[in-house]
Amino acid sequence: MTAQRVAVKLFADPDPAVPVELSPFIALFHRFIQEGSVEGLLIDVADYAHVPNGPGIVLIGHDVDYAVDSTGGRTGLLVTRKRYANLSLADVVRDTLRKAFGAAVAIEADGSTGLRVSTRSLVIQLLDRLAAPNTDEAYEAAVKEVEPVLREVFGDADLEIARTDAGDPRKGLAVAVTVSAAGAVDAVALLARMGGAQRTAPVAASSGPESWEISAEDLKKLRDEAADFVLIDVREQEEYDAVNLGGTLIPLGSLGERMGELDKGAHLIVHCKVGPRGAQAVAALRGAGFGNAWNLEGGIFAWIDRIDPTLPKY
Amino acid sequence: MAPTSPPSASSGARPSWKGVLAGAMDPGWADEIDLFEGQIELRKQARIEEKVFAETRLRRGVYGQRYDNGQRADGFAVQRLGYADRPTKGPDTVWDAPGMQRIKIPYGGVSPEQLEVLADLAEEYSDSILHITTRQDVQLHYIHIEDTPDLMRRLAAVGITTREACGNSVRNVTACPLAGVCHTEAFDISPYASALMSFLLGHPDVQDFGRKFKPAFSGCEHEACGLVQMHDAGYVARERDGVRGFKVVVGGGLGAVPHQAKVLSEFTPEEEILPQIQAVARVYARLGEKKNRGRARIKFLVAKIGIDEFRKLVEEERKTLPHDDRWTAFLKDMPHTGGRPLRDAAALPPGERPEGFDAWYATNVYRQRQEGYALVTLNLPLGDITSEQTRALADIARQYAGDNLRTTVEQNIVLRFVTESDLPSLYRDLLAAGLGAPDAGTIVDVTACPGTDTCKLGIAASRGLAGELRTQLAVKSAALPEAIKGLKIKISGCFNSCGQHHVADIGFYGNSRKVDKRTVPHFQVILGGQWTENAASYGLAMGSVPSKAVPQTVDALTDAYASGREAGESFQGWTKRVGKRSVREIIKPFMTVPAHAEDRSYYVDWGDAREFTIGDLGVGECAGEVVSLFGIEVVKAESQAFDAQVALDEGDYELAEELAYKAMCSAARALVRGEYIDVTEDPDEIVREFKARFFDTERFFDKYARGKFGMYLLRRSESPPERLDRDVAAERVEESLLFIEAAHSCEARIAAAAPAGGGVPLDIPAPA
Repeated sequence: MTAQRVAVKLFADPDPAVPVELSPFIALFHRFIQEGSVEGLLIDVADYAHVPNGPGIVLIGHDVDYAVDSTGGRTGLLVTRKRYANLSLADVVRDTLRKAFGAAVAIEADGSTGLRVSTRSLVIQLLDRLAAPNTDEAYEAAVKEVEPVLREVFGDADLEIARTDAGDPRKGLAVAVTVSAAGAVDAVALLARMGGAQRTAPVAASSGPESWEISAEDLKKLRDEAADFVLIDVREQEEYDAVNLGGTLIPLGSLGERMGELDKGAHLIVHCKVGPRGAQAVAALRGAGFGNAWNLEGGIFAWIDRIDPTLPKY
Repeated sequence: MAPTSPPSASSGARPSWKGVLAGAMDPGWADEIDLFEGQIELRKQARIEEKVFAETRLRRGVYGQRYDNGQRADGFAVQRLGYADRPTKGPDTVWDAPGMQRIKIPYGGVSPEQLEVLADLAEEYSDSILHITTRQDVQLHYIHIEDTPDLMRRLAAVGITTREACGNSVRNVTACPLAGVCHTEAFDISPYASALMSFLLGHPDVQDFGRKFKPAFSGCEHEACGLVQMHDAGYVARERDGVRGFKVVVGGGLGAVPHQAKVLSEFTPEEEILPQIQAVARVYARLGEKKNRGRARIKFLVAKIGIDEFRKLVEEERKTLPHDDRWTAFLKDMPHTGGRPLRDAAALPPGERPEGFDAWYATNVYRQRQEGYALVTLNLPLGDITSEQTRALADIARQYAGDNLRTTVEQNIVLRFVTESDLPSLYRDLLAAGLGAPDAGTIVDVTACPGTDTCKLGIAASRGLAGELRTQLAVKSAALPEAIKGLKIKISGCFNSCGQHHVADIGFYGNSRKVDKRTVPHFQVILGGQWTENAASYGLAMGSVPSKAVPQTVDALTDAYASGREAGESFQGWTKRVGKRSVREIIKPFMTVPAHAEDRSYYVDWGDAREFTIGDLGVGECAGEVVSLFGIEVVKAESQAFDAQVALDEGDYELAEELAYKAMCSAARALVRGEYIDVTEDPDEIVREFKARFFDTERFFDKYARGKFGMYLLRRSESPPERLDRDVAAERVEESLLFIEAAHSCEARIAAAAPAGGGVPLDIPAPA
């Protein structure tokens, strides 16, 4: 079977029939984009909170979507793998399950939404009516490929595998999986078992210290737009006297004690001479809750090289 | 057409929709889709120019979407999308990033079978949401361009094309959803709308337009229905001596500068409507503006040469047209569009009603002309419906209404020919599917364009605001006085009027203002537009309120109206009677924005968690001094523009036009004063200085509109109007408002570029 658009829905724990508050997911999903907390090339957040029993809030990716979905009146985390590749159905399902567990771990670790999902109750949807119509034949073929993956993931646990929506040929083919209490483990363990990490190498350069950098060109653009930010120079006084960009001088050594002067909600752009001290400062700031701290890549020298060669180097 | 059963799963190599549906599609449509698929392949190999490809895909309804997360990760720094190459899909969007597919639904007519296919497509290629637009189209978002050929094939197999859903072409033909069942119509216009759509689709005479062209049909003159007055070409059904025909109007439109359509003919007999529109198309293609997109709609041509001259040209053109059998062929074999009842007529019997039924019945049920039948409106939140709901709706339609569904310009869907005695059980079924919301067509049923959610031109979150208003108003709906309940709220994300804010009682369009050194999302309040009489008059701007204060503003306005109205007085009548100045006083308290330190929520738009910016729009609003010289001067322009509106309202067109021109001069002077403090108040000098310093240097230009707004001033200065009527004055007033907006943006860009220091200083002392 070649169905490539596959979704996995992990139902809310303990009771999927209880609606969840959707608005916190807007902030959470924007943060996921900024921090690359879940797999995929993440590009947008779609708000469908106004639609009853709909996809709720959707974190849109190029290749995968994450939604707090309440289709059918049952809330859960719906993870949809969207792009085709020449993979077997087993591989596609394995990949989608890993992404789903990864997202579950990230959402629960964050905690701000209150959503917890069960790893004992899930549905695998094959959203491809051409390759996987909702027929007995296709269901059997799908289970043949999916079951070994489920065995591999859930180990010795007893699995109950059933077809949903058999009565309505218009609906997509779907496989419901119930895992016995005895063999159940949480998403963190399942993720580890699948060789996944909560955050794998993202396609976009959007996570980790290297993505906390902005280029000299971007800084120029922000200045031109008079964007609202605080420029912080973490070099020493003598260096500052030699040449500066008009930022506020807070030498790296005194950053710790002066953090209290800074606004956690403000955008901070930090620079040093060529980059490393700035990176340290940004890591420290981010660690202390300054979620909008950025390092000027290549420091003031990059600025001089690429934006304003009239300034002296030292 | 029968649904094609998918092939069996065990049939070896992956089957293709192209193969499976080969026999089910119109061969011409199938070829077009194959061609488009080939062009996508060429584009991938970079063997077709981006510009050429862009027009190709747009003509097939394939749009770029805005990705602010690609462009503004946290409302500040840029995180680029991780695509290998970055050719653009429209300004600043990656061409192969997921985009929007617009699907044309002529006159809104859609069958259960078509709904099921749309549901499948949304589920397999989009996010399981179908969005109904203000022009009766269906839009799917986040579609991968590689999926569009199959998506189009699956639509083609059920008789839907996306051809000319966008681009400089004839867009969807819209029509009153009541057509065929209405009490006041002359006759059912649906077959005519269908015939006009088929005739113009791909017609050689409509391929060379400078801009889009939107037709609309209405069965009568006085209801809202077709909104023909705001369309490029509008048709109102009329019968004369037993002959069917239409009053035909041209040159209407909303957009940045709204125009009321002009009468092309009081009566065009039915056999003449197709040749006549062909003649109109030829005249428009020949004489319409091509270079300047901002003046290219037919409304500008009609305004420029006058309707009499335009009519003469069309009549002359008509004589030169070679005969075409299709002009009248449809009359012999009228397309079946009206729908037939599925079940026998029966009145609603007295008796037990489900809970909530009466309130729903009052707002969502329209008793048809055909006794014993009703039209039922599904109040879709923001025009959205899920795939699951769509399938449920197809079942419900099959059970109660047959193939009689229509999408509406108020972003809803209606079922027609529902037997009245079935209403209680229909209501239960709708409720079960989540489609039983009451309040259709009321103040709760807010209309909104996509705005910043997905549109590249959006400035503020129209959908976020609409969702919030809907939530707040739905709760108190039952307690609202009827007068308030009957009002319409329509919201656009920017001054382009996709949300049709000009024709609402209370309309809003998104803009932004600089406050406390930050950009704050705002909405301009437009009051007193008229929905009835086919959108016969447009509302006027009252001032901008911050997005977060809009719900309070709505409450204050509706309360004032409810308590101050005279018996039977419409909202429009009330605003006229009490006057713009008094109404503005009601809004005024909500216009101020608290300082950032005091209340940050104002600096975040609805449905977002990040601080607001329009950096991704490319307009570059920005920080500067708290009150600059410009800030002081521009106030004068704003008050002149306001007075111009008042004068317009009072019927003093000469004064209105003059004040509007003065307002533009004052705004231009505010800019010039920043560099040349001694500039006099002589309009000619102001215009000269403005032109030399800001226009010729392109500093006044923004990324999208370029010189469009600057031209408003230059054109008025060069050629004062020869004749002065309401239209000319109204246009000038609209222009002055847009010019002032553009001056705000320009000033912001200039202020940004000026200081060498950069960055906003901290409150801690910086070393010397």
